[in-house]
Amino acid sequence: MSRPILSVRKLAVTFAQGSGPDIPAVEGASFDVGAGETVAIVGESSSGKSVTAMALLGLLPAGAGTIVSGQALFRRDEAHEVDLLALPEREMRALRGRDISMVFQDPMTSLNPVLTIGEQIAEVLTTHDGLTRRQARATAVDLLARVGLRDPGQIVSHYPGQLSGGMRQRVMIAMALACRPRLLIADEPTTALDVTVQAQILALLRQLQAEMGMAIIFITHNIGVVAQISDRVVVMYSGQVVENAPVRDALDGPLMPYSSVLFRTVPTYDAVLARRRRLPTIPGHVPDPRHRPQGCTFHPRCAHFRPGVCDMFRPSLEAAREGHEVRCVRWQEIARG
Amino acid sequence: MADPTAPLLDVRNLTKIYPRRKGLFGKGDDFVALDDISFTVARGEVLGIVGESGSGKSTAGRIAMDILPRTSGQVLFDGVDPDGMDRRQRRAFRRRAQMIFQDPYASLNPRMTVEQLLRTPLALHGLTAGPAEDRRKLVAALDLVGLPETLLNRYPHEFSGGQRQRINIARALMLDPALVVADEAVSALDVSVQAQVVNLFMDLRERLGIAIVFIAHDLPVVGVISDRIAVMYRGRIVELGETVAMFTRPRHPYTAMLLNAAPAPDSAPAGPMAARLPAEETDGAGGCAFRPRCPFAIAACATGKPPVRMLEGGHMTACLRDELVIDGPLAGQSCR
Repeated sequence: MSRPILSVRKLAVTFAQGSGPDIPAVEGASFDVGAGETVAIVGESSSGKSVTAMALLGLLPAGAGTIVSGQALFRRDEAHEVDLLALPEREMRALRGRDISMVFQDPMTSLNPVLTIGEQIAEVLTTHDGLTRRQARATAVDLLARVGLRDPGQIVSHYPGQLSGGMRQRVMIAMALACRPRLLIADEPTTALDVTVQAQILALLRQLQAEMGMAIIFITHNIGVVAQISDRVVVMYSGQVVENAPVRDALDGPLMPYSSVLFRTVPTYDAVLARRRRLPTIPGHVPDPRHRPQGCTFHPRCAHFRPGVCDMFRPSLEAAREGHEVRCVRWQEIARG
Repeated sequence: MADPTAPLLDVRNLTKIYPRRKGLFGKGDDFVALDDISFTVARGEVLGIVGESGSGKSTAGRIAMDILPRTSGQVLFDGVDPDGMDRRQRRAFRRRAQMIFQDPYASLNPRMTVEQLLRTPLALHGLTAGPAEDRRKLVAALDLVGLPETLLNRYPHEFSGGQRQRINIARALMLDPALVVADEAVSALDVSVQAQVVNLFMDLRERLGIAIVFIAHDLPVVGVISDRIAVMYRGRIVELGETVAMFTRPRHPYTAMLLNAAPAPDSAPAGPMAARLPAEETDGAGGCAFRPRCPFAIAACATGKPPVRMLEGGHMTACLRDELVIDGPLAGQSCR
């Protein structure tokens, strides 16, 4: 892979509470995103996937309670590299929405209900690109047309409440793409949408990516969506990256026991045909972040658990082969079967 | 007792219309939430109902449970319509037909312990049989859903989403239901928890012979657990049939579109059906409601609502084009 556009190293986020124990939401996450690449971050609740995105965007609640460490080197252009985690707020604000932008799950709460769609898109353009209001409005109409909305000239004067969920998510994407970002961070952008609308939005993102060459970090819990959109998959479990591999390698031959059983819990058409009517499950539940198990955090739920090994040492993320990393001390034994 | 071979639930020509007025006295277009839908659920059968938001799938479930009034049509539970039931029959109906909702956080009273939550239905139905017997029932219900009895004194906030949904299911089981209507009961859960709850529904069906109406938008999940599936679009059932047959050769283009758009880990990237969707829907008034989005629409589709056609194997479709052969995700794999 050529030089990555984003290189995250040992990202850690801890929420300190006044009285109770600290909550280590993310514990040393490292991964790269190549230029024009789509990296899916997959995980269940409290895996740390959304907190990772918020940290990269500098959107975590500021204050003494939030402790962020590590490095996230973002290549702004060929000559300049910045550490997103060390950037002063003023510079971050200039970067966010221009070089890196974001789309969230709920388009209703992300749009301002009392401003028209046109005003909201224009705000992005006048802030970052210094366009006049007239220019910004014209550009807004263009952008709405590009994300496949009919009558963009009409929609600019609509309020968010007048649009359907799918249309609002298209508006969010139009806003995110307004300044042609090099990186788009999308956190469950299609989760609240109907499946046919989801298919449209995924197709739209792929098409716009091909046109503009931006990289995408796509955060989701939907393995089917991962299979459709991503080049690479980063699997997170209880605050850690546990596997990182090209999408087909990850889905067809996962090496970490958690990824492998997580992917199998999702119903496939094979299962429908076989009339098995039982899905593979993972026993137990995701550990409370305040009381994560010793050793490998997945060991209490793991079918390959070996006492004295898995519950003693926290495994590091190691390269199983070129471009495929796994966090499991037993991966070689397990792969041999 | 009704005929044991007759369907447990028999819904006939159900229609639900919400009148819409323009201004205070003006007349507006009525909104037809359900348009003449019919389906049956056999004892111990799992019927999946799928469709997108606004398709009427939840409305159908709620009217079948008699918690939402209908405009016209019949609902027969064991041969009797809840509309014409006397007090005693209605009470029995409320016991034997239970509903599980999507949000496991909103459906449990936060000030009650698990024990109180599970005892309440017994008390409401006058089924208390003494402390020891009731306790045995509580523990048995918790055991069925895979929760230990040590949780009886805990409050809902102490549980995860998956555990709360199990408590909801245990509460429904306290009354020995014959039918459970589950409305998006696994949609809010994490993938691994969703698999656990899906399996739990399958256990209930096998061990207790409970019939299930499983309302959801996730086609692969519905496909795994359902014997038959009803596909709804804009208030109508556009296709109803046995699961494998439907996934092999969907008879309605909308079913094909849904199957094509619903990604499973082993499905091919969305094909031409999904890509052909128009950006936003236009009104299909007067003809087939799906016509504006349908790649197979012909002139006749605009002239009137397509009638429901019965095909072999009890399969039904509301598409005029009976010569269409559309491959589903299981095409070429099943032996049919």
